[in-house]
Amino acid sequence: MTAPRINEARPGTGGEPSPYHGIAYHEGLVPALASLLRDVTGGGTPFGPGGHAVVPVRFAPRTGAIVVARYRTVDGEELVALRQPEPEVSGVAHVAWLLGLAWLRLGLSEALLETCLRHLGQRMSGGTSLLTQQLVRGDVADSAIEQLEVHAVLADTSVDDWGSGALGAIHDQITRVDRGLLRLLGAAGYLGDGPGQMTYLSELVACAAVAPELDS
Amino acid sequence: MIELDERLRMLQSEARGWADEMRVHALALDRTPDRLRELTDLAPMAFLATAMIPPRYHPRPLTLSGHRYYGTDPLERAVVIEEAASADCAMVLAAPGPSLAGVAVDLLGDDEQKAWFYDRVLQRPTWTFFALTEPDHGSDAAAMETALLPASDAMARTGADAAPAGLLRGRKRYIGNADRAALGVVMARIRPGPLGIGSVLVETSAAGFSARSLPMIGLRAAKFCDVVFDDVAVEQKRVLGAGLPRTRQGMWAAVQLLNRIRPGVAAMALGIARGAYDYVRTNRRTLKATEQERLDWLGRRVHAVRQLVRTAAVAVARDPSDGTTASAAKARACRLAEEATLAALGFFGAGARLEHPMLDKYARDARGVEFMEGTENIQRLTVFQGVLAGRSKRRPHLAR
Repeated sequence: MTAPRINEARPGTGGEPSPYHGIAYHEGLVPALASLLRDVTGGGTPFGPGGHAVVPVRFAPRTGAIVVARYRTVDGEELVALRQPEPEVSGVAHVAWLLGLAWLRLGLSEALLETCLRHLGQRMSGGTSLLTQQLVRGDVADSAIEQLEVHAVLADTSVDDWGSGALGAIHDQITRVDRGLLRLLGAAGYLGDGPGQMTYLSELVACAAVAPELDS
Repeated sequence: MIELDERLRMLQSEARGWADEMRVHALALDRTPDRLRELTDLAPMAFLATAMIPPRYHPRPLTLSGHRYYGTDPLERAVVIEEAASADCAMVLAAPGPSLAGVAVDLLGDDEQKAWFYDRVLQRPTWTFFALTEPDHGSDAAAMETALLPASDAMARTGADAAPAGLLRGRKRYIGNADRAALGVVMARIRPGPLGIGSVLVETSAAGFSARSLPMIGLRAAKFCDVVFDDVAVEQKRVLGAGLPRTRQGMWAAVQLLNRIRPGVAAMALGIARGAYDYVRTNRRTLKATEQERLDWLGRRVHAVRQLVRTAAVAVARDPSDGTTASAAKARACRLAEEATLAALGFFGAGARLEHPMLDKYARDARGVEFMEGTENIQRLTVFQGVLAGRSKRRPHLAR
């Protein structure tokens, strides 16, 4: 299968987030992925440097790729993990795809923060909401700080030459923020039909797209 | 540094062989948790099925070269659990045996209750459960809703000839093995007031008991469940701790129990971290300099947390009322499990979770130990209380 032609992902303007951020925040992983795929690959499949992709099932090519695994979102939508029999020789990360994906995952992460706030506000301990506890407030603040930093980096329009290493580090940072937020949800963050599932799929999509930075 | 004596080294060596048996089945069990019943003959499962039964009630403990192992010593458990969890933490959690319920019976049960419980577990591989956490209140004892209705109500509703202690009504959540268990311990409000929390023994065959497994991201074989007690009749002889002061029946007992268990949970997290570390060492024979540095760092972290876990096990054996070091170990080990499993993926590049499903499983399982027996923040608060009370005894060499 020939590599899809990579177009520019729809960027934000003047430091504003890209539209995939808002779609992910308001509508979730699959609608945002679909939008990004349509814009960046024209509906094609962006196989990463290892020859893998995780996409909504309707974007999977009919031939030429092996289905490695299938996943369901909490909304019942299906994603497939694919492997090309012959990965791209160049192994070059698709920068536009990675950048759009970073904005998308940041949107999911910020939605996860909102989920945490709702959950913590309703959970009581000793007669008061968990949100009144300083340790919890500190953890929420730490996550928000990380998200703000990621947002600021992605919105830096002075960067015109993203390397896959830099984008890999950003994806790692988003993963770590999400892990911190999931810890706040306790066991509720571990349910297969809860916010933890969406976060797991977010990690999977990134894993297929880019190699983690070892020293993140 | 805590070094293992000959007796424990022998057990560790045996447990490493068990881990090899377990590793073969890990992924298949993750896909199909009900396959667990096919694995009860595995040597590690047989050990766990009767581990933590006190010597008085355990006629046939594991014996190696004349050494007997009951699994009641926290360091013994930490050694075994680290090895087993390095292969499959879910299988450790899913194993039949007395587990937390057995510890509760040991703490609170009278002789008759202990004999009844341990005899049941010894007859055949028997799953048990321990139910504390509730859907809306977590482990907040003050807000506990599950309750044992008074006996007069129970007799009127059931028409039983024997006088039950009451009817158990309520819901618990995230209860491991509940849908495959035969019996278990339920913490409930058994009387009004701040000292009203107690524990009762329940058989899952009782009318009104139901359990439904929940879909989980990882540790799928462990089958965390929603449990409903719909007016389950509880006989007086199944109420634990009736002969103990009320101050020792409720959350005091729960704290003692969790302190005893916590080094084992820390060992599970350590095992997951070590499993991921071992996977990298086995599957990446040639490393770049930066990769080798990173792997060496991981190895040092695993070693350090192992020492902390063993220190905690020794401390809990000495004084089960002091959970400071156990909380430190649990917090540290769980964080290491997440960091190590993410770091391990980094050695295999893009697509690692798809090409190395065992690493994906380690990474999913690592998140599951974080909320068991208290989240990281709860452990941090316990450590703080211990520091304040001077119980950490961090620097005995500075004493004058």
